[in-house]
Amino acid sequence: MKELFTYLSRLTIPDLVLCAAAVVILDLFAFAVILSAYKESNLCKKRWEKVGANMELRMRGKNAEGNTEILHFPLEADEILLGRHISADIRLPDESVSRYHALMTVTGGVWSITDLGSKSGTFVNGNRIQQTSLQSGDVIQFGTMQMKFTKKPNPQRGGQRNV
Amino acid sequence: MFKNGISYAGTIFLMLLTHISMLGIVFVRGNYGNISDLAILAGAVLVMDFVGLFVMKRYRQMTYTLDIMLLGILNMSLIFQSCFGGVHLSIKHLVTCIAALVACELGFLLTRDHEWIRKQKKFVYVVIGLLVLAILFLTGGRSMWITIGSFSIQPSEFIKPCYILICAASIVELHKKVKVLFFHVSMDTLFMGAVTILIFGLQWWCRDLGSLPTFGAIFVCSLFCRLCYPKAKINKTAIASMCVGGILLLMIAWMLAPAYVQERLHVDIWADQYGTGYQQCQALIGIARGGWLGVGAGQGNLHKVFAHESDIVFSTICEEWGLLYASLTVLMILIMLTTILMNPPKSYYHATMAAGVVAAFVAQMALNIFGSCNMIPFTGVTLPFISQGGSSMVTCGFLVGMLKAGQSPLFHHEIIEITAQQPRRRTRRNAT
Repeated sequence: MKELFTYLSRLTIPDLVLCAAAVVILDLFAFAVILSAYKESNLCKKRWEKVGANMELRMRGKNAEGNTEILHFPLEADEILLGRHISADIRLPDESVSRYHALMTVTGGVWSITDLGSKSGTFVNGNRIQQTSLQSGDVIQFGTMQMKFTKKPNPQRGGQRNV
Repeated sequence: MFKNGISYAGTIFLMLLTHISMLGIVFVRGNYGNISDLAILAGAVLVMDFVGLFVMKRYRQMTYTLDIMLLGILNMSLIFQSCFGGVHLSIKHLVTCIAALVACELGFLLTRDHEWIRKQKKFVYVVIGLLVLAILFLTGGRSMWITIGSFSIQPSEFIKPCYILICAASIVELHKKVKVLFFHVSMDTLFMGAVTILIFGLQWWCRDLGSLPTFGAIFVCSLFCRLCYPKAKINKTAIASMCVGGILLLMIAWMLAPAYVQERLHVDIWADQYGTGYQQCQALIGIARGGWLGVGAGQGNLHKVFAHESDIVFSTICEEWGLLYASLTVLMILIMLTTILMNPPKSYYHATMAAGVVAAFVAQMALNIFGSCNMIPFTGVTLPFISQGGSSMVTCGFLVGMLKAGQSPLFHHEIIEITAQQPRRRTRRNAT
C-alpha cells in the first residue's frame, strides 16, 4: 500500500487523471460493445425465425419420464440431420432408421428433405422420395417412425388459450 | 443499423471518446517536437473514424459491432504506431489499416453465402496452390518473403484464410462418403488432409516455425468441429485419440526440430543479454520501465530495438502506454473474438469458419505476447491489428470479415427480401 502511494505521489495530477480517464473510457467502450453484441443476438434470433419459416417437426413418442406425448423438434439450423446416430441433430432411436437417414435444408424460406441412401427409405405423405420440398402439414416417415412437418405454435396464442 | 440504433450510437460515441482520450494523453505526455505533427495524427484518426462510419452505414447488414470494434482497434493501433520514437503520422501503417478495412469488407462479401462458397471451393484450392508455388519459386530459396524493391509480401499469410475456408466449406460434405480400399471416407476430408500436409511441410521446409502453431490451431479446431459434426456432442473416444495423436506428433516434431529451435526452448536470456537474448531482455526491461501507466507516448527506449513495431510491439506499448492500457487493448481484441459466443453462427459452415478464425488469432496473440514476456521461446509472430506489416494486416482484416460473415450470414431468402426493400431505403422516412 505504501509503495502504491509512493508511486502515485510521483505522478503529476493531470497525468494520473488523464490515464485513469482513458482507461475508464476504454472499459466503457468494451462494455458498450458487449451490450451491443448481446442486443444483436436477439435481432438475429428473430431473423432466423423468418429464414427458417418458423417450422418444426412433431411426433408422438415417449418423453424422459416414459409417458407418451407429442414431442416437438424445432428446426434451428440451416441443415438438420436426422438419423439413429448419437450425433444426429434429431435422433430417432429405432432400428428401422438408418444412422444417417435424411438431411433437411432450408433455402429461400422453403424446407426440403433429402434421403441419404437409407435402407428403409424416406416417405413424404406416403410417397418414397429422394429429394423433395416440404409444406406445412406434410407427414414424413423414416422407417416405422412418423413425423409431422408443421408451423411452430404461437406462444402468445397458446398463453391466451391457457388463460 | 436503425433497429439497434441507440446501442450503436452509444458504442460509436465511446469509440470516438477512446480515440480522443488517447490523443489527449499524447498531447499532455507525448514526445512531439511540433504541435502540427500531433494535429496531423489527430486529423488522420478522426477522418478515418468518420469515413469508416459513413461507409459502414452505406452497407446493409445485420450486425455492426464487429465493424465498430475493428475501426476502434485499428485507430488505436495507428496512434500506438505513430508515437514510437516520437509523434509522427505513420503513413505506412495508415495505408495498411485502410487495406485491412477493405479486406474485411471483401472477406465478408465473399464468405457470407455458404452455398456459393461451397460451389466455388475448387478455386480456393487453386489459390492455395498458386500461393504455394509463389513461395517455392518467387521467394528465392527457403524463405517466406517475396521482395520487390522496398516492398515485401509474405504469401504464407494469405494461405491462412484460404485454409480456414477449405476447413469450413468441406465440413457439410462429411456425410457424402465413398469407399476407398476398406474404408468409407469423405473425399473432402482427404483433400483437406492433403492440403494440411502440404502447408505444414512447406512451413517446415521454409523454417517458418513461428507460423506452424497458428496453422496447427486452425487444424485442431477444424478437426474438433468435424468430430462434433453434425451436432455439438463430443465423441470422447475420438477426442482422447486426437489428444494422444497430438502429443505423439509434438514429440516427433521436437525430435526432428532444427538445433536452433531446440536451443531456444531452454535458453537463458539474461546470460546472453547482448546476444541471442537481447530483444527479449529489452522487451522485459521495457515492460518493467513502463509500469502501470507507461512513460508517455514516444518517450520509451524500445523504439531503438529491432522489430519494436512488430515482434515485440506488446512490450513497446507497455513501456509507452503502461501495462494497464496494453492489457485492455488485448482485451478489446479478445472481446471482438468472443462476439461469436454471444451471437452463435446458425450454420455449420459459419461456425467452423468462426472457430478457425478465433483459433488463428488466439494462437498468434499468445505467441507474440508470451514470447515478448519470455514465457515461451521467441517466435517473431505479429500481434493481430497492432503490429506493423501489410500482409499480416490485410489477412487480419479478411479474417474479421469471415467472422462477420458468421454474424451476418446471407440466406437466399434474404436476397429477395433485400432487393425488394432497397428502393425504400432511399426515402427520408427510412433514413431517419
